[in-house]
Amino acid sequence: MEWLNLDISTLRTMAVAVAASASCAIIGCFLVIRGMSLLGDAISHAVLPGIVVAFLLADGRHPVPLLVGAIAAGILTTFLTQSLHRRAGVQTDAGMGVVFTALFAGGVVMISAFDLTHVDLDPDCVLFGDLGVAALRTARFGGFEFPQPLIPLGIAFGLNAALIGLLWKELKITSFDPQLATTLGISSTIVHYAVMSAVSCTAVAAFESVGSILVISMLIVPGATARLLTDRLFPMVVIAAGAATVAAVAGILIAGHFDTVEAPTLSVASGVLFAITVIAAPRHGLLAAWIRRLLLSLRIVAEDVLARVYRHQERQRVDGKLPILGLTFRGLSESVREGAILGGRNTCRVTLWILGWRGLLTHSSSGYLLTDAGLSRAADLIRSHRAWEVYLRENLGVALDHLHEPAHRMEHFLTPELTQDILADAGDLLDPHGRPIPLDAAPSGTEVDRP
Amino acid sequence: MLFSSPTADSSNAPLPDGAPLPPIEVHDLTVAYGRKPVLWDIDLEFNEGELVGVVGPNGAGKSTLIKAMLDLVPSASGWVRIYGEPYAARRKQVGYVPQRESVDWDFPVNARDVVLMGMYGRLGWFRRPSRKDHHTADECLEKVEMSAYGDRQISQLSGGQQQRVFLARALAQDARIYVMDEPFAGVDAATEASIVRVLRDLRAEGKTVVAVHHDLQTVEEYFDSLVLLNLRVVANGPTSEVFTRDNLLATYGGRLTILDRAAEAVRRGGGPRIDRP
Ligand SMILES: Nc1ncnc2c1ncn2[C@@H]1O[C@H](COP(=O)(O)OP(=O)(O)O)[C@@H](O)[C@H]1O
Ligand SMILES: [Mg+2]
Repeated sequence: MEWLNLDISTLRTMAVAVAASASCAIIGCFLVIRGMSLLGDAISHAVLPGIVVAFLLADGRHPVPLLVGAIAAGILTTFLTQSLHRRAGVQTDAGMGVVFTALFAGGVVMISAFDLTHVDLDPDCVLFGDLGVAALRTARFGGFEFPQPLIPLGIAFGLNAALIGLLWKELKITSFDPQLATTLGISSTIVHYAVMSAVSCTAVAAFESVGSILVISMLIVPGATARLLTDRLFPMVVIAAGAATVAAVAGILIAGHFDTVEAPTLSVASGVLFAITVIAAPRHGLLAAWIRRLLLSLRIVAEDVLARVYRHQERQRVDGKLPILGLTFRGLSESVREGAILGGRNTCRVTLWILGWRGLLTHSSSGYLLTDAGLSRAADLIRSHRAWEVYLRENLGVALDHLHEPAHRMEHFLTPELTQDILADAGDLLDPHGRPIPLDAAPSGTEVDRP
Repeated sequence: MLFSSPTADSSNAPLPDGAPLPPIEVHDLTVAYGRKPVLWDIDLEFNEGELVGVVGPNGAGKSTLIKAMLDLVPSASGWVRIYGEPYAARRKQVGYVPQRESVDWDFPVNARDVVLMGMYGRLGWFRRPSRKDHHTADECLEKVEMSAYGDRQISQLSGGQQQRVFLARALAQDARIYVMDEPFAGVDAATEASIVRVLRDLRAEGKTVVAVHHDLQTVEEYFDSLVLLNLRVVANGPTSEVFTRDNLLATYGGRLTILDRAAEAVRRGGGPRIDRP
């Protein structure tokens, strides 16, 4: 298959992409939960002067001076932003904006001033990196040849994993409740600087492959995706790493197929994965919310139909009519206008089909009638409805002609226990309109005669 | 000391036996945000084993006083001593219940995780809670009648339940002094009853509780002593002596509402309690 045309260079690119994405993703989770996504942005730019200085002093791409330079620049950014905020009263975001743009621009100026463009530190590469080219340079270890960028990325991943493993509870508490952490003697400031140093290392390790702009997407998007899929911190970190890997592999395959630039394609894949999650996540997703709303409104319509048939049968019984006639489709569809999603008649049809299928409603030549099961379900609803009317009337003094609407809404949500408690307090067997309140578990036939 | 080892840690220093040191002593404390003082010359001393209420209008500096006692805000002058020592030396004897709004309740943890955080201070850096700690966390949840909710993500809890989780977390700190900022704010009746029960249990164990309180209706019922605060300490002492109309007016200035005064009048007249709308 053309999609799986995995030659050795594609595999190398993919390895670098996965390493970069996963390193960024695990530490990025903590930026996401701390509400500091923008600081990740700032740092991924601000490390540039650190990198340039490392280049000038250590001449070349040795990982250690690079990481040291990056940490220094990251700590400087964090420190300057915090000091501007604490001492000069500058808003955190404004301070960040000033600091990182100044540092980044300083880095670019240094690149041009010292004419470093020959070592592919040109401004273009700084912004977007070049995944394919970076993966071409290989290193050897014990007879095994692999892309050179895996060394700094491996170090960054190791550092991040170690930091997260060692400081797990400190990261958790300083992110959730920094004040409590401080009173307990766990310094939020130290943890903050540790996270920012880790972000700086990761940014610089991923820098030459994906550039500073795409580092931001790698830091933030997988964490944000994972947050939608879980409500616990540890699964979130694991899922973020997984999402990052999926996006990296998919991004490289797509880039190979359509011959597009790797790193941006990877970012797009990551964004698409996020969009899919926003829509389809089991609990936090839009689709899930839509389905929950749909099911709720179907339930409400079905319950309204049951209550409507119940009242119809009840009225005939009070009038002493025998045999009791069912309700026609037209009579029912009138009552489901409100809350209908597919239009009144269609919703009614679907609802009647469901109620028949669940054995709550029967249909004969005389119309729709409640079965025994339907009768007991409807009696529950009517009891809730009338109990709520009693409550509104007796406790809040609501006028008689204003009782039905609120009770009509509440009847779908009152629990049997609550209804029971209201009725125990009221001790009344009639609702404020003088209609009987069906008893708990009303035996069929006593309330409404069956034809 | 940032990475203090457990043995070198003075925050567990044994209390001198028999010496009647006050659990909290505040001396000449002044706190300012920028150039605006929000607490002025505060002098306070609390008695061991009492429930102390801190009462005052919005912006009176109640939260700031609490934070100053916990070393969370720097003081312009004066000092706070916990059993005769600075806070840093006594952290393990103080449990803290911050205002509920002070954290993001969408945070990806469940109720038990939050309670476990109360034990992080005792664990020290790098160490993880043990199985026994998890068990203790469940016991603390039980004390606030929240055992059924340990696995719930915290955003799925009602406001009252969140407040109880905070209380359980403070209980997990296993302290001798508890400092609480508005534990009763915006909670349902069940939660209020549960919190009151916990506070009384703590008192029965000889612990000291300092709680910011906003409901003048229940002040007399809940607290042994009061601090009436508005920038300065307006009055301070046993509730029966301090909770007077004059003191309240002095504390709230013109801000004591008709409703509060009506409630006070009804109370003086031996009438029923009036519920605030
Ligand atoms: N971080 C802060 N920076 C500046 N002013 C603050 C800060 N926190 C509180 N204040 C001000 O200090 C005063 C006291 O606040 P606070 O202690 O929260 O009062 P209370 O808890 O009694 O309502 C208020 O006027 C408030 O606006
Ligand atoms: Mg306050």
